[in-house]
Amino acid sequence: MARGEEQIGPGIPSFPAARGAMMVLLAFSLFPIVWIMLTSVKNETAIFSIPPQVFVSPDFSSYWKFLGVGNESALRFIWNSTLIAVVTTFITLLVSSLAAYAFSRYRFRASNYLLFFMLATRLLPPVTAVVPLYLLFRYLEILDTRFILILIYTALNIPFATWLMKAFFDGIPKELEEAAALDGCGALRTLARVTFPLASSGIAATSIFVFLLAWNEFMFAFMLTNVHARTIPVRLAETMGEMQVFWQDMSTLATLIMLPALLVGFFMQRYLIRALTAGAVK
Amino acid sequence: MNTGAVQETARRGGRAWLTPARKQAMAPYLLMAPAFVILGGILVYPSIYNIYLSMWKWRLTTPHLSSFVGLSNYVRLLTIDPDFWQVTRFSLGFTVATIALEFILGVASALLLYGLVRGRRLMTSFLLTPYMVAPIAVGLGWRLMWDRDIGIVNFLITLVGIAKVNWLAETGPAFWAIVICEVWRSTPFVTMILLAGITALPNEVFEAAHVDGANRIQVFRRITFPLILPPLVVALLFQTIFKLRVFDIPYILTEGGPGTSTMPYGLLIQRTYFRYFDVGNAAATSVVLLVLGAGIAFAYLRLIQDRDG
Repeated sequence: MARGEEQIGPGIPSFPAARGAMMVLLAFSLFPIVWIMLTSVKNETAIFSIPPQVFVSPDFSSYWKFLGVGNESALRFIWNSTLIAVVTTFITLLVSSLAAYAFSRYRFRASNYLLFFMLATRLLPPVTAVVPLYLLFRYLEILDTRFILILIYTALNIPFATWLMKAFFDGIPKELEEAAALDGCGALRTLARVTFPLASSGIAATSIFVFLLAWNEFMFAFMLTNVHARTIPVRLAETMGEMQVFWQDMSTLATLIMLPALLVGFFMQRYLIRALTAGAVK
Repeated sequence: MNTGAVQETARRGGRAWLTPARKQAMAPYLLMAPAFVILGGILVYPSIYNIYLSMWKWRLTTPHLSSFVGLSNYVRLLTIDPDFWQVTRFSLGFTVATIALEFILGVASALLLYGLVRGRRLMTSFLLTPYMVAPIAVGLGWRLMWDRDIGIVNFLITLVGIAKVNWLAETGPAFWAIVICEVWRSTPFVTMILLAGITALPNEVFEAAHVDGANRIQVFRRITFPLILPPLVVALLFQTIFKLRVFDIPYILTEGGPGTSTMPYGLLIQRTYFRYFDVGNAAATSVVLLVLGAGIAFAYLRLIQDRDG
């Protein structure tokens, strides 16, 4: 692309006005997030002061409360969320890599229909499954367990993860696998030693995505858990139902929920964009 | 496969059907089996079973009074249930408003990002952030910002002399408060899809247009826009379907209120089931949502096909 004296291309060139618009967009995108973090270190007086205060001496008491071991510790919820998200990521990746590999490498009669069917399940509104699943889990007496959330999040992520992984497998030349087979590698060994290592950046991109979706999920956790398997988003929503509004506590929980996404956003953004766009643009 | 191997297996007896050729043919099905079992058991089968449940009058509190009632739950829902139509009105209005705004903002941000000479990656990373963080968490942030007494929005509008608005407790303002929050959260998705689409465009086209003396607006209308339309339609299809299932943001901002004026389908289903323990009606509402989503998906697909063919 011709950068320099004059740009030829579809983009809006960097006129001062365009740079201004960019800054407004940036401020609009980041302000609410920064504001939550700022509120989490403000005490009640600072929160209720008008005009709003920006420079405050930080008060971390909410953090000590939630991350400590006392009565109101949120560690249990953080642990639930972490465990559920990690296990979901692991199972989803395993199951959908296998399916994606089959879709990518084998040409067989039903493969197109099966792929279409799998993608079409993304059109099902997940809330449709809530009532039957609740009845089923109640019957099996496994309501309010981490297990059911892992199962549901895995199911919700399989179509997208399979589609993504298929795109990454498609990008690996078949010849490499054939060469490995000629050198005496068995099918499983070829997968483990050749294909998966080559697909590792795709696996990373997919994992990050699945992890964040599981970590962020609220609706199913809210409806299907009670005490034992409550995740941190549900803990936040509970705070809202109390008579008095504790903005500092709520902002602290919100910040803790946002933390993994923010870390990933800054350190692994490359993978994220790849995952987001590989699904939609062929 | 050679016949020798087949005979070899046959001679060993018993498992003659499992020839290497058949093994080879079964491999992809075996690899896919776990994915389809989980998907079928947790998502597809419950959704179908739901249709059956929707034909029952069944309250969890009075299970002995259950009876099969056919389509009467649907009749009640579509004719006399005031909440259902209110929810439908909100959902459709919400979908149209958010999609339109996200489309405009998304195109503008993608073109701005593409035009950046330096720092495009860093900027992309910043603009993507709202899409990655949990809706429930950022919803709380917006609730704080929309608050009547301590919210920054009211503080800013009083600076320019406008009276305070009780954003989350009045019907009109509450609708727009939710729309803006959702637009803020999910525009980055549209932006990313468009940016990827624009980046993939062949540069020769733009050079030719430049040589022919086309100005930027003509280039956008006649070249860029038609070329990025296919990925855009796919992105919009998914966005539309996701809008109908919005849950977290209305829940944390207004809990569907005031009244039921900002209540999405998900929350209506949740109320019907967990507050009134009404299995039949909750299931019927889910089925209506399913049909609506399928209808929209079908309309989009027709749109794509008509354009191609």
